[in-house]
Amino acid sequence: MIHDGEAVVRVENLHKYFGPLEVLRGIDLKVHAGEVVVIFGRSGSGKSTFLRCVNFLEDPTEGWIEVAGIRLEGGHRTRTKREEIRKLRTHAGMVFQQFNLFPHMTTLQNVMEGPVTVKGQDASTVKPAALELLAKVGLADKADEYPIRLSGGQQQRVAIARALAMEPDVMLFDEPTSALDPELIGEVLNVMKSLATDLHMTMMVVTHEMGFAREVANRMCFFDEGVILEEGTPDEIFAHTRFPETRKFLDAVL
Amino acid sequence: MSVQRQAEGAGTARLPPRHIQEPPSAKYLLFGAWVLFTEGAMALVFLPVLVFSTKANVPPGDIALFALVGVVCLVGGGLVYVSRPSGWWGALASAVVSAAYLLAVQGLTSSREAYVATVLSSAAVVLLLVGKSAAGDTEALSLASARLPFRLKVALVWAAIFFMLGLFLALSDLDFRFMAENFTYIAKGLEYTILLAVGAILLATFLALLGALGRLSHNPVAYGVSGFYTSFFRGTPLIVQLFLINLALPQIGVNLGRVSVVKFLALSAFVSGLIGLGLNYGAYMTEIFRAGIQSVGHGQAEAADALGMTYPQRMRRVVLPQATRVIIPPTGNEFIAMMKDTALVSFLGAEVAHAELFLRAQLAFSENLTKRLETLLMVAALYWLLTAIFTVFQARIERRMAKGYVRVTAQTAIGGRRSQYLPAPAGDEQGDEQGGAEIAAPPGQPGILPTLEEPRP
Ligand SMILES: Nc1ncnc2c1ncn2[C@@H]1O[C@H](COP(=O)(O)OP(=O)(O)OP(=O)(O)O)[C@@H](O)[C@H]1O
Ligand SMILES: [Mg+2]
Repeated sequence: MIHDGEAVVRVENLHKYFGPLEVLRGIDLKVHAGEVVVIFGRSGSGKSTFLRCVNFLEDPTEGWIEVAGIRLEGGHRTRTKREEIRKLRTHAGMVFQQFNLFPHMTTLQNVMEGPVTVKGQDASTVKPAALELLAKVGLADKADEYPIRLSGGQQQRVAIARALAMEPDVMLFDEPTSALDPELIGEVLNVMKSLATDLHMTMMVVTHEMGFAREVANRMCFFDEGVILEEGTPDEIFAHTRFPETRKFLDAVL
Repeated sequence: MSVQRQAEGAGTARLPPRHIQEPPSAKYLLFGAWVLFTEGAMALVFLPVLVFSTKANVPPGDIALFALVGVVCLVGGGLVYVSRPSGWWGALASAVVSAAYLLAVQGLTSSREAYVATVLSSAAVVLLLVGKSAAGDTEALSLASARLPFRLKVALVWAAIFFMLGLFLALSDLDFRFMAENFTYIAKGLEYTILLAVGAILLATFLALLGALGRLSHNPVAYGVSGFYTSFFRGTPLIVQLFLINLALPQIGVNLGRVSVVKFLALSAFVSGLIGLGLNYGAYMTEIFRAGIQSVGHGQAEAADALGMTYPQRMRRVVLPQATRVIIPPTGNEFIAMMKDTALVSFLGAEVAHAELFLRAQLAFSENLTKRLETLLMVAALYWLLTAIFTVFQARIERRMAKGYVRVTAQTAIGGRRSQYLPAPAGDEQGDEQGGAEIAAPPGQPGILPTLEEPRP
C-alpha cells in the first residue's frame, strides 16, 4: 500500500491493565499520514481503551506511544511526562460517542476554545477560521446557538469542528455515531468522509458502520480480546476474511 | 415537553370562549367579596385582644356581637359566589349591617379601628352596587378571577396581612414615635451588617473553593488539610468559634509572654466576626462546591483534557463555569443564613460607631427597657428587608445562569399557563419554537422561572 507520508501514530507493544484485568495484550500499530484506519470488534474487546491510550486519556501500563513525533512510554506519570502528554494531545483531536460539547458555550465558542485557551491564540484571529470550520461541517447558521438546542447529529458535527480547530495531525473517533438516531448518522459520516477525501486527514475510527469502512477506510483492524487479530484493506477483510472470529463478527453486523 | 404544551394549548383553544360575554362589573363583585372576607378575618383576629385586654374592659355581650359581625362579613363574602341574585342581596345586606353596627357602637376599644372597619364595609357596599349587573353570574366571576394575574392576587393577600398586622400592633399601643426617632440609630447598623456579610461570604467562597478542590484532590496533604478544616468548623458552634477568635486567641500571646503577639492577635469584633463567619460558612460551603464540581459530567473533563488543557484551564474554563450553575442557588441560601448570623457578632461587643444592626438594637432598648417590642420589631424588619432584597437579586442571577440549559422558554411557559382559561392573546403562538428564541423571562414576570432541562449527555 502506498502512503503519502511518514507514520503519524506509532504504537508499540501496548499493554493495559485495569487492576488484574489485562484489557490490551500487546498492540503494535502504525498509522501513516492521510490514512484512515477503522477499528472494529466485539464489545469489551478493548477498542475504546486502545483509542484512549493513544492520547493518554488512559495511561498505558506498558509500551510506547508516538504521536506527531512526541514519543512517550507507558507507566506512571511524572511532571515532565504530564507536560509532554498535554503537548501530544494538541496533535490528536478526539471525538467522543457522547459528543461532550461544553454546554455553557455557544457552538462558536466551543470551536474557538482550543485555539484560544490551549494555544493562546487571539480570539479575533481565531474566529474567522472557526466560522469556516463550522461552515465546513454545515453549521454556519448555528454559530451562536447553545448545544442543547442542536440535534445529536449537529452536536457531533460541532464536536468534530472543535477537534479540527486545533489543527491536529490525527483525529480519533470513538463510535461517533453510536449515540445517534439512525436518520442522523448519515450527516456525521458524510462530514467524516469529507475529512478523509478533501483534507486527507489521518483518522483512527472505532465504528461499526461497515458501509463507511468499506468506502473510506484504507485499513481495518479487528480487535479481539485485547489484540489485533486481523488487519487488512477493506477488500481483504470483507472478501477474504482469514479468521473465523472476524467472519463471525462481520456476519453479525452486516 | 413543548409538544405536550402544544397539545394543551390546542385543547383549550378549541373551547369556545367568546360566547361568555363577561360583564366588566364582575371584577367589582369579586373585589367586594374580598373586602368582606378581609374584614371578617380581621374581626375574628381581633377577638382575643378584646377578650384579654384589661384596658378596654368590654362587656361579654358586646364581644359576642362583635364576633357575630365578623361571621356576618365572612358569610356575606361567601354569598357573592352563590349563583342566584339573592346571594348578592344577602352580601349587600351583611355589608350594610356591619357598617351600621360599627358606626353605631363607635368601636369597642377606641374609635380608630371602628372607622377602619366602617370604611371597609362601606367600600364593600359600593363595590357590590357597582357590580350589581353581574350578581349571581358565577361564570362571569370565575372568568374575571382568572383574568386577574395570580401575582396580583398574592400581592393583595400580602397587603391584607400587613394591613391587619399594622392595625393589630397599633391596637397594642406600639410607640410609633419612639420607632421613628430611633430608626436611623438602628438602621445605621446596616452598614456593618452588610460589610460583615459580604466580606465573610467572599472569604467563605474562597475557602470553599480551596476546600472543595482539596476534598477532590489525590494529594494527601490537600485532602487531609481540607478534611480537618471542614470537620472542625462544622463540628463546633459558630458562637464558640467567634469567642475563640475574639477572646481566646490573644491569650496565646499572654501565655507566651509576648506583648507583640497579644497585640497582633487582639482582633476587633468586626475582624474576628468576619474571619469567624467566613471560616464557618466556608466549611459548610465546601460541601456545596464539591457537589457542584462533581455534578459536572466526567465527559466534560475528558473533552477538556483531550483538547490539551492544563488542570487550571480545565477548571477555570470548563468545570467551574458549569459547577457555578449548581453552586449558586445553595450559596445564595448560605448567604441569606449568614446575613442573619451576623447578629451573633453583636455578642463580641463593639463601640457604637462599629456596631452592626443587632448590637445597636440591644443598645437602644437597654436604654429604654419598655421599648423592646418596638426595637426588636424594627430590627427584625430590617433583617427581613435585607434578605428579601437579596432573594430578588438571587433569582435574577439564577435566570442569567440558565442560558445554555433552557429549551422551553419562560414566554412559552407563561403563555401555556394563561391559556388554560383564556383564548391566547394575538401573536402568542403556542408551539412556535422560534417564538421561544429568547432565553430570559420577559420583564415584569420575574417570579415565574423558566423550565430547566438538563443538557443532554
Ligand atoms: N476504567 C475502567 N476500569 C476497569 N475496567 C475497565 C475500564 N474501562 C474499561 N474497562 C474494561 O476493559 C474492557 C475493554 O473495554 P473497552 O471500553 O475498551 O471495550 P470496547 O471494545 O470499547 O467495547 P464497546 O464496544 O462496548 O465500547 C472491558 O472489559 C471493560 O469492562
Ligand atoms: Mg467503546
